[in-house]
Amino acid sequence: MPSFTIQNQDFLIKGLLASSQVALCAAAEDVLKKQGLPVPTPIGLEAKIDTGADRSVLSKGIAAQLGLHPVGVSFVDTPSSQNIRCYEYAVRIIFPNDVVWQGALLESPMEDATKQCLIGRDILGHGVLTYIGYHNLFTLSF
Amino acid sequence: MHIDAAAKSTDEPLSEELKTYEQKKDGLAASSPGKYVLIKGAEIIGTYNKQYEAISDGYARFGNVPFFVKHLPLQ
Repeated sequence: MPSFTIQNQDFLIKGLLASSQVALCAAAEDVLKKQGLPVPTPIGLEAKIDTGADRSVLSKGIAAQLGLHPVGVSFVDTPSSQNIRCYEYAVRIIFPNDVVWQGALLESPMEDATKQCLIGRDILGHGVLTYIGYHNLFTLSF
Repeated sequence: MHIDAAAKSTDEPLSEELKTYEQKKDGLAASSPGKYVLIKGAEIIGTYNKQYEAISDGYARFGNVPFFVKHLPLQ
């Protein structure tokens, strides 16, 4: 079972972060290669484990940087607005130790200067998350 | 952030697919509960056990263009 482990003293303040990359999913890459088109370079970001989120969310603008088109849409309520249309994009998340997850992520409706990806229960539900708080360590396996 | 599964239709991307889904979701959920449906325009392309299977088939059939994949509710 592929896994990665991160140990960091900042977990208590910043949350469970893993330096990762987001890229086109393999199926989209195949399409571009068959068409002789360049495949966009993966984008580095911080993946933040969020067991309180039912859906995983990608910072606004990353999907456009990767040249992606939506593969779904949901309507989202935020503290300030309701029923905001948010698109979903098929991506590959490359975690440390080359652990890979592929699927659709929701794009955040809010502008955010940071490049980040919240890893919610839709992804965590496919794996095993072990957090040892007093060791400032977590392991994620898929 | 709360996510509402209910959908509305506008002229934005995937609006036709969203309309198709809204019209057919009850029947789809009854026949394929818990599966993923792939929709392009007004056409139901198929249902799949896994989300990524539906996404892969969407790319293989249509290329890098918008298409619609949705998890069907359990009845």
